[in-house]
Amino acid sequence: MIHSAPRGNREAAPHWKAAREGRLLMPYCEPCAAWNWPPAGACPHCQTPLTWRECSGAGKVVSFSIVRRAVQPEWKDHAPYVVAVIELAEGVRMLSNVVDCPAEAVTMGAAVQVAFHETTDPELGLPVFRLA
Amino acid sequence: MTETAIVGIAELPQGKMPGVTPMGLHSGLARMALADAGLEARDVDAIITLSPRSDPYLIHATALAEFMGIAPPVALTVEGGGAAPAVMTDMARMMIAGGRAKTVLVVSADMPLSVVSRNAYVNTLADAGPVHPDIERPYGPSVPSLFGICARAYMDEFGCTDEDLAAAAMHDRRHAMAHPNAHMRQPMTLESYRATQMIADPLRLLDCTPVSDGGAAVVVTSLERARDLRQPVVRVLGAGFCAARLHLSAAASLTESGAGPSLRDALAQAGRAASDIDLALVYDCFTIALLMNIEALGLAPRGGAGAAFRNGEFNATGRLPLNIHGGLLSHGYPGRAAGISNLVEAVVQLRGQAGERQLPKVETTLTHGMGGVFATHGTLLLGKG
Ligand SMILES: [Zn+2]
Repeated sequence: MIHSAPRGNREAAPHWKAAREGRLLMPYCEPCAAWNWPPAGACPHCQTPLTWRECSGAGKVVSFSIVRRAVQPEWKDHAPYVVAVIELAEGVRMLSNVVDCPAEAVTMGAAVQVAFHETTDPELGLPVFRLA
Repeated sequence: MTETAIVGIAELPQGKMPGVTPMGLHSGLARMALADAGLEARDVDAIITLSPRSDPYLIHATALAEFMGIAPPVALTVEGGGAAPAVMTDMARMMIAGGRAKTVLVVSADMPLSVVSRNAYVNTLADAGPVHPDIERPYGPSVPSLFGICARAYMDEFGCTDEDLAAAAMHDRRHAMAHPNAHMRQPMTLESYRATQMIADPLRLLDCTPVSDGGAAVVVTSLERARDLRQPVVRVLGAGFCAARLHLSAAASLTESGAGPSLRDALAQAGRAASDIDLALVYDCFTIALLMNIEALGLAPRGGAGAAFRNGEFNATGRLPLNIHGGLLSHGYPGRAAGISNLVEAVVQLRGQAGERQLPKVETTLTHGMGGVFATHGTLLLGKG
């Protein structure tokens, strides 16, 4: 599906632009050696500007829910769909969708691999996940 | 510090209120609470409200004062999510203690059922509620699905099942059936719970609150003045707050509510111990929220709240009566005002005015409110005279 575009010019813009190019970038603080998500511009602990690091895209399902009754208008025709907390192999967690499988096929701890969906903004993509 | 007391309360039956306007509801509750206290509208020198979703005003509290024909020097419209009842009551205390005000009127009401459509209300929550507008919203999470993610993680970690969730829903419903102001009063069994549709697995319809018109008003003044007023005295003993984050994406754990420090700080301020609490009213926008909040407040072991419900530990005759007004799950969820009924029930029980629901011994009560998906917490301790 084509997702509705995130708001451009926000802190996560490099993440979405990279997703449009097929890469998964996540914000990282070098001095703290720590990932920062949601992206805050600067590290909330030491105020160092965050750098964007590429992740392998491998991860696992930490937990998930199956949305049976969608609320956002563009999702109405897509229920049931899976909203999941994914832990990337690098250790950072993000909310995303598990796609291209029946919702009932998703399990706790399942291995997943990133995929990229287009959005209504041609410059911005969204990382989603498929069962590996 | 000048001690404070709650001297007036008002609550109407929660549910659909056709023909009522949001301002009419606010002013009606305000006048009822003032009458309950034996005070006049002109006595109010500070007014605190929430901006209801059903009636957005730039400065809602001042609009309400204008509507009521009063001109209190202080009029504040606060934003505190579900922790707002504790925030508003604590602001009232601080203003009284600091000499800014003598009589503070707190009104918290909303009409998401009759004025905003239910669907429009649910959509607002998903667009600008606890859902992160940038990194979460594009994935289509409903609010129930965010709590569903926590529920599945909780069930997985502790080996709990839908019987634990149902135990919380059935407890609230059983008690709501005995409360004249409760919205949801039809009986609920495990079978009828399981027969309702999945909204966001593993959460069913009856794991979610209804959407209600409603709310309440509360009048706060000094303890010294309260002794001369008409109602049995209910003291504000202490308040505590905590917030580690806002969005679920920033949560360190999906199975810890984080409410604990708010109770710890409230107990320290009140000079009381957890064992002094005779009645607990805990925020429960979803069944999973009730289980996790109870555990974070130390009222049941981790993973054990469902079993405690099944064992009757939280019944009126159990070791700690809890949500005996039916909770948000069955007493009602009046939009922005959700949680204010916890405060009202505590006052009614401390006064000894609960009629057939009256507990035999209530000296100290805990009322807890939560904003977001286990994001912010506000806990109040109230005590008898
Ligand atoms: Zn840092």
